[in-house]
Amino acid sequence: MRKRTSVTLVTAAMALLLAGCGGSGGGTQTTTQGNTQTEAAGQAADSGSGTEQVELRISWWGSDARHEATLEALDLFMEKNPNIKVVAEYQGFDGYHDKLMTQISSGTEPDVYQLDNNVYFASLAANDKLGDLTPYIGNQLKLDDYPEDALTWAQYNGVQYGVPSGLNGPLFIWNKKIFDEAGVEYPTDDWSWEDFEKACQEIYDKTGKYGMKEPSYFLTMTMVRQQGQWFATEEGELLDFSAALGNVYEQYNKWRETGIFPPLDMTVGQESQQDNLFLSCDAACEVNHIATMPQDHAAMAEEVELGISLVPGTKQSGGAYMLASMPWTLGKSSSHPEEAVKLIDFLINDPDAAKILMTVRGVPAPQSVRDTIAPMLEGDALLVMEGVDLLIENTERIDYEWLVPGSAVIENTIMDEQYATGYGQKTSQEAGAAAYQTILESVQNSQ
Amino acid sequence: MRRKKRKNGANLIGYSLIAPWLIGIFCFQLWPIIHSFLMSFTDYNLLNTPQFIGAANYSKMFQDENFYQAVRVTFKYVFIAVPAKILFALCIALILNLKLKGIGIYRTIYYIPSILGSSIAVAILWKALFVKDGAINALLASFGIQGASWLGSPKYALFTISLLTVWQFGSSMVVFLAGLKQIPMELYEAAAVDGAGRWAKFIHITIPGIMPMMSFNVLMQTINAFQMFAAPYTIFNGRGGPLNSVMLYVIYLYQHAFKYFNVGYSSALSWALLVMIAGTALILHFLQKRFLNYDD
Repeated sequence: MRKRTSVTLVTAAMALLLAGCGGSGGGTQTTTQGNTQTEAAGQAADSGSGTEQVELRISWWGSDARHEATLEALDLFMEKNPNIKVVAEYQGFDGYHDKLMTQISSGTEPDVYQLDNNVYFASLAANDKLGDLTPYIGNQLKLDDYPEDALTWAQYNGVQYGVPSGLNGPLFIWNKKIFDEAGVEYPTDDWSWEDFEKACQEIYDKTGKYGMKEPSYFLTMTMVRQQGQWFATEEGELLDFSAALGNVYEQYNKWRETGIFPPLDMTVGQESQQDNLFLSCDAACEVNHIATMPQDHAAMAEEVELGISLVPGTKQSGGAYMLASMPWTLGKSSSHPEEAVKLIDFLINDPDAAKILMTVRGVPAPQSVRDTIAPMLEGDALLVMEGVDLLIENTERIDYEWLVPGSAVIENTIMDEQYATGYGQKTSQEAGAAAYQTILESVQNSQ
Repeated sequence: MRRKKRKNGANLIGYSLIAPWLIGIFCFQLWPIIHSFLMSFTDYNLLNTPQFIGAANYSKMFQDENFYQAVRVTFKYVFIAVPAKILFALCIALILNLKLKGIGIYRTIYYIPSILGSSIAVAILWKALFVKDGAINALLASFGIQGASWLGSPKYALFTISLLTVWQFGSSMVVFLAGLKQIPMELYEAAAVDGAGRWAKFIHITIPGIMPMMSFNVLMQTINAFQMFAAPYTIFNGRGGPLNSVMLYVIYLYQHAFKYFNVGYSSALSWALLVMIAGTALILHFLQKRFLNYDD
C-alpha cells in the first residue's frame, strides 16, 4: 500500500515536471509581463505618462568598440522612450549564432537581433522563423532614404525580414610598417596578383614576415569570382565551382611554399578572429571585411598604420562586391513587435544614434545618415567609408551564395578542403571538387 | 493506520526537500535524454517541425566518412589518454603516500589541475603553451631543440590534447591514494621479514591491494574520455583541428547539431555514442570479472 502511494506520487511529480519542461516559453513570458506591468504602474505614477512599460531584449556580436557605442545608443533610445526598457545581450562572434539559433528554435530569441545574413539568413527565412517587417514599413520603420540594393540583402522571396545595419565587403588591408621595413611600395587599387606576388615575396625574403595571413574565406570567394565563376544564381541555386576553386587552392599551395603564405601548421587550429598572424604583425596583409578593420587595428600587437585597397586583380578581373550586412532582425516571437521595430528604426535612421554608432557596423546605408556622420569621420572610420565607396564603385554584381539553403556548410567546407590540399592530402583539383560535392550534398539534404 | 499516515507525511516532506534536485534531474537530464531519443528518428533541423523518418539517421552513419574519422580519432584518444593518465596518477599517488613532512600541502597542490580541469581558461592556457611560438617551444629552443607545431600538425595535435587530459590526474590520484592507505602495514612488514625487496612488495602487495581502485579508475576515465569536448572545442575553435585529426566524437556531433543544424542526425550520433560507451564498459567489466578476484 505504502509502496503504491509513493510510486503514484513520484509518477505524478514526474508528469508535472515534464509538462513544465515542455511548455517552456509560455509560462516565463506571462510572468515577465506581469512583472513589467507592476513596474510600469510604479513608473507611470512617477512620470505622469499613461503608457505601458515595455521591456525589449536586443543582441549582437562584436568587439569592445561596437559594444560601447551600441550600449550608449541604447541609453539614448531609452531616454527618448521612457516607457521602453532595453536589455542588451552581447558577445564576440564565436558561439553567437550557436546560441541565437537555439533561442530561435525554442522561441526565446531577443526582440531585436543582429544576424549574419551571409550564413544563417536563408535557412531561417525559408523555415519562417524571422519577423516580417512589411506591416511596419512606412509606419514605425522609415526606409524611404534606404538604398534599394542594400535592402535586397535581407529579403527572401520578396519579403523584407531585416534592415542591414551597414555596408561592408571584402578589401585588401595591409600593414604599412611591414611594407616600410622591407622597403616595398604600398599596394594600389590597380594591383594585379603578379604585383602582389612580387611584393610579398620581397617582404618575406627581406624581413622573414609572411606576405599574407592564412587566406580567409572571403579571399577564396573573391578569387573564385575573379575567374568568372559565381557560387549561386539569383534564386539561390548552387553552381558548380569545383574547377575554379581548385585553381585557387593550387595558387595558395604555391604561395605557401615560397613564404608568401605561412606554413599551415602555424595557423590551422590557431587562427580566429581575435588571434592570427596579421594581428600579431607577422604577416603584411589580409583580405577581410572592411567594417572589422578598426577593431582588428585596435587588437594589433604593435602600433602600426593600416592601408586599404581593392583586392588584387579586381581591376583586371572584377570580383569586388558591396555587401549590406548584419541586418537588424525582428524576433518572430517578440511580444512587443511595434516597439521592437521602433528600436530598429532608431538604430538605422536616428541622426543622434548615428553620431554615436558611426561605423561600428560598417558604413550606414541611408544617405541622410551618411551625410550626418561624414564630417565627423577620421582615422579608421574614414578609411572604412572610403573602402565602402571603393566597393560600391567597383561592384559589378552580387553573388547569392547566402541564399542557398543550408549555406552554413559552405565556409567550413571551403576551409577544410583548403587545409586538406595544403597538407598534401589531396591535389588542389580534388579538393575543389570535394568541396563542391560536400556542399551540394548538404544543400540537397536540407531541402 | 495512523502510523502509516505519518510515514506518508514524512515521505512528502522528504520529497519536497529533494525537489530542487528532482526538478534538475527531470528537466535537465531525463527529459533531454528522452527528447534526444525521439529526435534521433526525425529530420529535425532546429527550425522545422520534426517529421518521423524511421532509422534513416542511423543508417546514414554507416555511409558517413566523417563519422568513421570521428570514431577512429576518439578510440585513439581513449587508448592514449586513459592508460597514460592512470599511470601518471598512480605514480603521483605513490609519491604522495610517502611519509614526508608537509605532504598534505603537496597533496593539495597536485589536486589543483583537476579543479581547474575542464575550464575554458585551462584550454586557452594550453593553447598559449603549445602554439608554434609558444612557451614550450621557447623553452625547448633554449636547450637548442627545435620544437614542432604541437597543435598545428596532424601528427601531434591529438597527443597534445591527450597531455592536457593526463595533466588532470587529480581525481584518479585521490582514489589511488585512498586505496594505498587501506593496505595493511603488516603485509609489508611480513614481506620484509620474508626478505622481499621494494619491487617485490610493489608487485605482490601494492598492486593487488589497489586493484579495485584501478578498475574503478579505468572504467570512469574511459567513460569520461569518450565524452571529451570542452578543451579541444576551445583550442580548435569548434573545428576538428589539423586535417580533422582531433575530430573527437562529441565535437562532431556538436557540429552537426549547432553548425549544420542536423539535430536529428546529431541525436542519432549521441545514441550511437551511448552504445559505444556501454559496449566498452561491458568489455571492461567482463575482463575485470575474468581476471580479477577481489575476494581472495
